[in-house]
Amino acid sequence: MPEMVTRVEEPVDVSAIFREGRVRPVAFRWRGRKYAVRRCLGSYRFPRGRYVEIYFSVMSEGPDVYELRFSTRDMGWTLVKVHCPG
Amino acid sequence: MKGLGSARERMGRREGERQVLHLDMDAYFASVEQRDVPFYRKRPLVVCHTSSDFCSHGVVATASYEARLWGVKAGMSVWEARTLCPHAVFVHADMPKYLYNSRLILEICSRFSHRVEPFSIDEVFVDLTPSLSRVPPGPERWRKAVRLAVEIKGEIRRRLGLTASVGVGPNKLVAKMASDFRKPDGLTLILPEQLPGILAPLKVDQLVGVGPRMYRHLRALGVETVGDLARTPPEVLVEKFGLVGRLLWEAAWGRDWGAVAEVGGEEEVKSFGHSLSIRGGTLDLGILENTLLGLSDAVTRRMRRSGYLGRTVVLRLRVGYALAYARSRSLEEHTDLPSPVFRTAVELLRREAASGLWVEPVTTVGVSVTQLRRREEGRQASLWDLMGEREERLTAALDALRDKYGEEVVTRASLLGEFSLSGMNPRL
Repeated sequence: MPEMVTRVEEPVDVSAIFREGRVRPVAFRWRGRKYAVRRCLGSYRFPRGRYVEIYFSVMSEGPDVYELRFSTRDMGWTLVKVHCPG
Repeated sequence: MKGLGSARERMGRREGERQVLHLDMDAYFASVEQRDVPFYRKRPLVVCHTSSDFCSHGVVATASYEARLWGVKAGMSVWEARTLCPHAVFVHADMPKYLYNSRLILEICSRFSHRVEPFSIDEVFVDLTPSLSRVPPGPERWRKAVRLAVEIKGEIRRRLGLTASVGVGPNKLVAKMASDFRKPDGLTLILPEQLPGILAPLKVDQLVGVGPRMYRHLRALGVETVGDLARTPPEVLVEKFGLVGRLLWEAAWGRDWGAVAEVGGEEEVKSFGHSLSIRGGTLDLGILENTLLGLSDAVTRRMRRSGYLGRTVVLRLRVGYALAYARSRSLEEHTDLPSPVFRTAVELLRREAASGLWVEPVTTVGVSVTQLRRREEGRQASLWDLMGEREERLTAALDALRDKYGEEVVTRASLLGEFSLSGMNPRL
C-alpha cells in the first residue's frame, strides 16, 4: 500500500476568519491551486514558549485531509501534512 | 503498611460509601487519528512512536480495534506489527494533539466533580461522591452515579467525537477493573455487594496489579483465580512478596483505600511535580534514570517560571498497579536547578531498586519538589553557591532560549531517542 501521509511543511496562503478569539481557515492556496475548506475535522493548540501554534485538519473537495498550522510567531500558515487514501 | 494505614485514616470512610468512576479512552491515539482523517476509519491503523519518517521501526503506541483483530498490540515493535498486518496504515504519534484532547477530557470531567485524577494520558479517575453527597447512600445514589457516567460519556462524544469505556465502583481499583469489562464504549457498574461474586471467578491475571511476572509467581503458589488469592492467608503473600503481597490480597477482596486527587484543591502552591507513565513498565535503571533527568528538568523549569525554590525532593513510583509509593529527601539548601533535584531523585531510585520491592516493572515514575518558598525571599549564601553558580548561569541562558524559541529548542542529548517525554503528566 502506498504511503498515505506526506509531510509537506510548506508555507501556504490561507484565507481565514478571525472572530471572538477564534480562527477558522476557509480556503488555502498550495502550489498554485486553490482549495476551499469544506470541512474542519478538528483542531488543537500547542504552546511554544511565548507563541502558540494552532493546528487544523481540513478537507476540501476530495477525500484528502490537509493539516494546516497557524503560528502566532510569524502570523503565518504552513501546510504540514497531507493524508491521501492509498 | 505505613502508606496504606494513613490512607485509610485520611479517607475516614467505610468501603461502599464512595462512588468512583474510571474512564478509559478507547484505543485513544488511534481514535483521535480516525476522527481527524475519515478514510482511516474502519481500517487497521497503527500509531507509532518512531523517529523514522516512514514508520519503519520504533514501537506501537496504540492500535485501532481493526488492527487489534490482526494481533497488533501496544508495545510491540513496528516491524512485528507490519508482519502481522501489512495492509495497516502506520502513522506517527502526535503527542501534542493527544495531550490537548486529554486536557479537554479532564475539563469535561472536572465539571462533574472537583476530585479528578489523571491516571495516564488516556485514563482518568473521578470521585463522584462529593457531587452525590445530597443523595442518601444506597441504590438511588448508585443510579445517580451511573447517570453522571452516561452524561460524561455523552459530553466527550459530543465535544470531541471520541468514545470511552467507563467503570463505576466503590473505589479506584474496582472502577478500573469495571471499565475493562465492556469495551469499546462500555459502561459497567459494580456494586459493593456484587464484589465477591464478580471477582472470585476471574483469572488472577485479570486483577489490576497482576502482570505476567506476578502471574507466574502466583501460579507457582497454586493461585489461579482471584478467589484463590482472596483465600490465601495474607501472611503467606507478605512473606513471599512483601508489601505488594498484602496489597494484592486486599485487591482480591475488592478493597482499595486510595483517594482520588483533587484538581486545583489548594490555592497555595505546595509542590511542583511531573510524572510519566511507562506503558508496559520497565525495570531498566538506565531508562528510569534518563526519565528522571527529563522530569527534573521539567519540574525545575516550572519552578523557575513561577518563581519558587524548593528543598525536598520526592520520588514517586508505581510498581505494577498495586504498589504506588513515594520516597523523599531534603536538600541542604532550597534550589530551582535541575542537577540537585536529579541527583537526589537518582539516589532515591537506586536505593529503591535495591530494596526488593520491585516484583513487577515500574509503570509510573514521578518527581516533585516540596517545601517551597518564593525566590524573592532569598536564600542563605553558602560555599555550595559558588559551585552552583555555573549551572545557574547556564540554566538562565537555557530558560531565555526556551522562552524565546519554545520548549523544544534545546534538549539534553540523552533525552533524544524513540521515546520523548512529551507525554508527561504535569501534576502529581
